[in-house]
Amino acid sequence: MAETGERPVLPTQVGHVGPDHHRFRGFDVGRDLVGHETYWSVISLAIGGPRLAPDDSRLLDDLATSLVGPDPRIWPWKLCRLMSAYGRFSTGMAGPLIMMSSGSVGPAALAAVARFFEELARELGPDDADDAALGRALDHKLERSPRPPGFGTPFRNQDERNAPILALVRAHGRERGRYFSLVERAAPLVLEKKQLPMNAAALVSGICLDLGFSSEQIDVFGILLLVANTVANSFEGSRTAPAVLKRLPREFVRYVGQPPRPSPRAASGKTP
Amino acid sequence: MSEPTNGAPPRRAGPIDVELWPSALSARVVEPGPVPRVHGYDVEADLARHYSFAEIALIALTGSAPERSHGRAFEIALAFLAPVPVSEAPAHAAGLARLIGADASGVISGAAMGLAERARHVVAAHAELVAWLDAGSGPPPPSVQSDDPEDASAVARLREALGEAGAAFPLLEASPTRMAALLGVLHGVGLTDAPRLEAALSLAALPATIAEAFAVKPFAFFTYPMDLPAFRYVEAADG
Repeated sequence: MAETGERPVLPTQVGHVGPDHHRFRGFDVGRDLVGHETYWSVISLAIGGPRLAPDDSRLLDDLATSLVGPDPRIWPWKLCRLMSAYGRFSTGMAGPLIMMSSGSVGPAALAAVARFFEELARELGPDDADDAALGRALDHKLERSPRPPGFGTPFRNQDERNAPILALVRAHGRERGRYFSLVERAAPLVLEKKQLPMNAAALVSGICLDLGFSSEQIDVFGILLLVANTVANSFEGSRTAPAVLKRLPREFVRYVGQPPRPSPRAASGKTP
Repeated sequence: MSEPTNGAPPRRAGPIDVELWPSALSARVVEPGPVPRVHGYDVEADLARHYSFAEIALIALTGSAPERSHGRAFEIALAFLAPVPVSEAPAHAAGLARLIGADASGVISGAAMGLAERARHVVAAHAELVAWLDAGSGPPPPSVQSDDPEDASAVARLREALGEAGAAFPLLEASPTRMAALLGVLHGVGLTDAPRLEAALSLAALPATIAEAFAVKPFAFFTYPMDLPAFRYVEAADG
């Protein structure tokens, strides 16, 4: 029989349900947050960040909008289509997030990019305005990361999302942020040294780092800033549930594995 | 270029449109069709008659048919790895999902996801062991050795079962932990990399984990210890 030990206790700073209210990260939800804080500000609180100033929230809104690009042929969104092919929206949302959680493509990439620039900034230290020092620090990092996260644009020469992101950063007057500047200054050097153009994840990570978030926290933004793409594909995918995604016609599958062969037991005529 | 029909300007070809892509999906393990094959072996006329389900899983994962002793060793290892009790997160989560009304698909996918995460964690914690198994020489790393009598008993039962099957694995003579011994067996039958070890750990535990969850009565909320463990809310200022 159980129930003899002392009940284990876990501290949490996230929340507690009271008799007529919820506490959340030190706030009374109904009294302190509803009508006062934006959704992005609540997300910031949820991951241990600060309440966001209104323009920070608008910046994140604009950033999320600039990242809307749900062409279902793009690999992560194709996952949403395949996982929702049997008609369930939530599977289309959740499955791909798990599948991409350690990848270098999709939402998880953003945290890796943020870590790269955090480390680069740390390596530069107070010299971060010195271009020669930046070149040396990049050389050092590129020795260990031949394909640095945040650079490279598969099957195209440039990331089509960069221009709108650059425009919105300037519109919000954030182009002089420490990390954003670092990303912009590193981009031509990486292009010259590795022939890898900067992608949108580099710019987004610079913005999020300048908002004061750590790379661990930015992992969350990788998912949330791209969520319209997963929603769009999982929703349409689950509503249409097309037969062709449940099973591709035979003529579109080519077998390239082992040729037909008997198993050793069949060949010897012996069964267990 | 695709032409919209709603009067909007024509869309220009994008980078995916202009690239030359393969026209078919490649199948590398399962040959589709009326005579399904796995790695070239006819499933219905050959494997189903001559190999157990576990051995077919091993064939799928390694690409070749095992010797009888290795097939049996794999079955024994899977049996040892099958029970994941409700105290562990995957079974706990799957049961909780059932309690709040998850259907079978939700329970099964939740259990599979939890077990895959558990397997990733277990194999990562045994990276030193896997490296030693790959090298195939020298003494096993101290981190996988145990003087716990429960480990010793389990490993003795494993050794005995394997002995009856004609299979022996040197690691089992070096006082390993129970999990290290089982990973050693899996490695010895051909699952030599982390992804395949993780696959075997997940597969082994899936049926019992699902069954534990299916045994939970949906919506019987007062049968579930909601305050276990006891989460205690502290505000940031409380320290």
